[in-house]
Amino acid sequence: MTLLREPLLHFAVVGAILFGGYSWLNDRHLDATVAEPVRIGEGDLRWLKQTWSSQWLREPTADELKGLVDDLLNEKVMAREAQQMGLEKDDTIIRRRLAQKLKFLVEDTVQLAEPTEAELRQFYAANPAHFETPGKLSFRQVYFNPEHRKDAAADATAALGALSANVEDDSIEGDRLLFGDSFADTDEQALSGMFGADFAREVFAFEPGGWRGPVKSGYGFHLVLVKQRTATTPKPFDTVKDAVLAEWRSAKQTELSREYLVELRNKYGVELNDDAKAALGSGPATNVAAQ
Amino acid sequence: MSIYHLREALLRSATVAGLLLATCPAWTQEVVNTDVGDIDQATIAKVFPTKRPYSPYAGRNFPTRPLFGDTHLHTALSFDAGAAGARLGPREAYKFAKGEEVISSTGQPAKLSRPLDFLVVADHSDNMGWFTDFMAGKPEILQNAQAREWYDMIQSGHAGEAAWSIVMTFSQGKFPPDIIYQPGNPAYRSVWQSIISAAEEANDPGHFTAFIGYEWTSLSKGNNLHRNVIFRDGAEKAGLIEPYTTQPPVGSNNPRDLWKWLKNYQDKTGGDVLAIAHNGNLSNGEMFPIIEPVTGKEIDREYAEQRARWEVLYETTQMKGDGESHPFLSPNDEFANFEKWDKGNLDLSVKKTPDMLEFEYTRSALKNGLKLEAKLGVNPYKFGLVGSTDSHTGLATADDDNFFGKISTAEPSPERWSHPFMTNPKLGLKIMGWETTASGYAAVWAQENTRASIFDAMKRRETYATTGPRMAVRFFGGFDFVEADANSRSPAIAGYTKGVPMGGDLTQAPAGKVPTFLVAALKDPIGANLDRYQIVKGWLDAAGEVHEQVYDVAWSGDRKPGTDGKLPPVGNTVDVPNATWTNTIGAPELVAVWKDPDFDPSQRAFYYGRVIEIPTPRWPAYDAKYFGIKMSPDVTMTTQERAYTSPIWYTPAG
Repeated sequence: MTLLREPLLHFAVVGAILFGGYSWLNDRHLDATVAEPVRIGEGDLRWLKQTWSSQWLREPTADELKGLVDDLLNEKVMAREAQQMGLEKDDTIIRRRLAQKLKFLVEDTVQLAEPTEAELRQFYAANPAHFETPGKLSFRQVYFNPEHRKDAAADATAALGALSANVEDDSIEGDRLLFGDSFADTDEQALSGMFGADFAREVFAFEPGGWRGPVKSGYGFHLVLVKQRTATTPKPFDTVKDAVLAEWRSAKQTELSREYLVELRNKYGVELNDDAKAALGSGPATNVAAQ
Repeated sequence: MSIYHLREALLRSATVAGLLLATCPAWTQEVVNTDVGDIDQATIAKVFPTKRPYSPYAGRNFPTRPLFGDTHLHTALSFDAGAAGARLGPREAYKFAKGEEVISSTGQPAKLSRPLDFLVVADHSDNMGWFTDFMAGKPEILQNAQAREWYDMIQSGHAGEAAWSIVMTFSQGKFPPDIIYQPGNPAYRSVWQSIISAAEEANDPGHFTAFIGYEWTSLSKGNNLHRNVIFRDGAEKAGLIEPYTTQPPVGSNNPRDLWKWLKNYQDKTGGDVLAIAHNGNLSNGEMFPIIEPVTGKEIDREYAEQRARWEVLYETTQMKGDGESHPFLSPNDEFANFEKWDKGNLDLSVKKTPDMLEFEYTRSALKNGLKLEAKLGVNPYKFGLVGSTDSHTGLATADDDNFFGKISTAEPSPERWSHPFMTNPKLGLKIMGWETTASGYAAVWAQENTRASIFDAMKRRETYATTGPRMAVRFFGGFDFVEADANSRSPAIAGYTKGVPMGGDLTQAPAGKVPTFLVAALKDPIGANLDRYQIVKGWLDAAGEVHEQVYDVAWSGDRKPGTDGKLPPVGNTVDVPNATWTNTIGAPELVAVWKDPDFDPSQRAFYYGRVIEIPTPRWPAYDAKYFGIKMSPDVTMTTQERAYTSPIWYTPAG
């Protein structure tokens, strides 16, 4: 990692990738490139200006542009020299970067895919959990803190008797809990954030009406009165169409990237020694692709 | 020449396609403006009459639960993360943060114990531009027959087929050379745009917040000056600009230039943005300077104003060590020796010397801030606190029993503890894999889970840092808190009504009054009990010297402070070989009111809360148990997780 942090190396690597990548993709022009002087042309100037204005939302001044050109020129001659020295060869970082660029390219291209309405609806129907409004709960709780009681569970059970006789009995307060005693329209994720997942699951299963419990949480024991519960409902297709499209694309991307890798292996052919073969096993090679 | 022209040609269709993409409705706009804005005592007093209404719901618009998130997560889009083998991109990172199971870069299934409430994917800004000029088009592109065909397919509504054809053409090596990289071409797709669209897709107001952000990775001679930039805005504004970079020709390593960029963004777009610095511990004395490294001069009012304006928060704990304080700076604080990384700067190119420490750690920066404020009229180091992971795996893990490491090569394995994380053999410096810290998260007291609400809470510094556990921590300051406020059913109501929350200000003590603090902490519902709640005070005396003092204000059990004023340790239930502990010691909840016993109304001061958990197994203990391995005796196997609140500052009149 030390090396990875070295700015001079960054500098060299960036340049080398720039040119290494360029040459790699265009190897038949390598010789010509090497023989040519380092050039800054109209395209470079435009690129510099554009990069500048995309960060600052204005054109660079003459002075700023001078600095930009100067630095780019330095970077280019350094990169040229690094390339001449062969610094880009057998470099893990450059190899990964190139592979990564290709991966992004393929993924982006896949993003162009436009499904039909029917495909989208089918995807929506097959993945209901991704497109729903979570149910919500309004409830009161009475807390029994084991720190302050000999037997918090027994105290809770005893209090449940009194509360069952009179649901609105306000005299039984239990112990103070920082999050409070009354909760309105809380979804399961929020509830589980405050009380833990087990508590949330258990309480969400309660029918509104009577006091229930004791329910155990990380803090101790609780009696719970659910006042109102709304069910989890699917969001109408039309309101989540964009989200469905995004998810569909992401699924499609995974699928196409995998096929693309298979194609690439076929294209180049793959030679493996026995150990490598053994390491790969006989299973399908898929995890190289998009996640 | 013709080759180059040809090359320019192919991806012109891609440009067209890119434009098409940009117009398609995938980026849903967040339209939630229900945020109540800054909370101060006056507004709250209006909202809450002295006696609250009978209905507990009425008028209750202060934040009722903390939202937990990570403001600093890298994905495969970061140059170094990708180089270290990270394969997960922003979309997977958001999925994971939302609680879904994903397959990690090393092929292991990974899932959080529970979802996070928000996430900032903050990839390095440098190199993001690589793809802005990767694929391109000029008007001549349509002269290429293949490109023309794709263009027509897209135009006639067959983009899917076009995409497939493009991908297959790639793989068959028949791709027209025009498509290949050519500097100087306008953008087809920038990494930035794809980060934005991933955030827009993942953002789910009310449920999960996906912030747009990036890391400005300033590294000056190996000294870490990194800042994460977070946008309150959606694609409509953040998409207008490209992130600020650090590499010449266009970028800069000087924070002053970043502040200019931030201001320029706000001026030009009407958006809102803030920056969070981190890892002062690896800056070799440059994170919180009194002498500005770039100029060699004492920092001036302009520096102080800009820093105070843009850097309202500081990431004080993360995987590369904890930055609250250091034993050298706080020799009387027995909890200061915690997850310290003090061997050198970020790349270990320069060894650390003790004189650097004062300008690296949170507590000393807060103290020097008082000094600078007295001199300059502005406190450059008036920041609130958060923790975050800085994970480079796409996985925001901060739990010790579920730690996926700092980089993909440090995902769970029997060897990761023994791999050096960084070395400099010449200087004899080495940081081992086991020294990385499973930390931390940012907790935000926001009214609701939206970009606007969380961002505004960050701006008013109503935040705290945790090293991983999700404890709920309250910290209120005022002049009128009394014991009964701690015993009430809902201390938060007293807190907001009679005082200011963490991140706030107290000024001009009324005659005869001293600052009082209402503190409360509730343990992580699935975590360990709490040992103690402490208040750390720093102040500037009449002679211009700064001081600090740590007070125990609430603790579990019936422990009594010793003659040295120190509370005895809480004990230790950790079974290292089995990586377990029990909640038979400590308390689930700590609440108290504390009054400053040494207050001088003429002296500037700050106060912040520190909540300490009982000892629990550190991540190597879980590794040793799971992989059945034995580690060397120098490996730290237990930890005391903690939370740090944003300070409350006291400023005398005039």
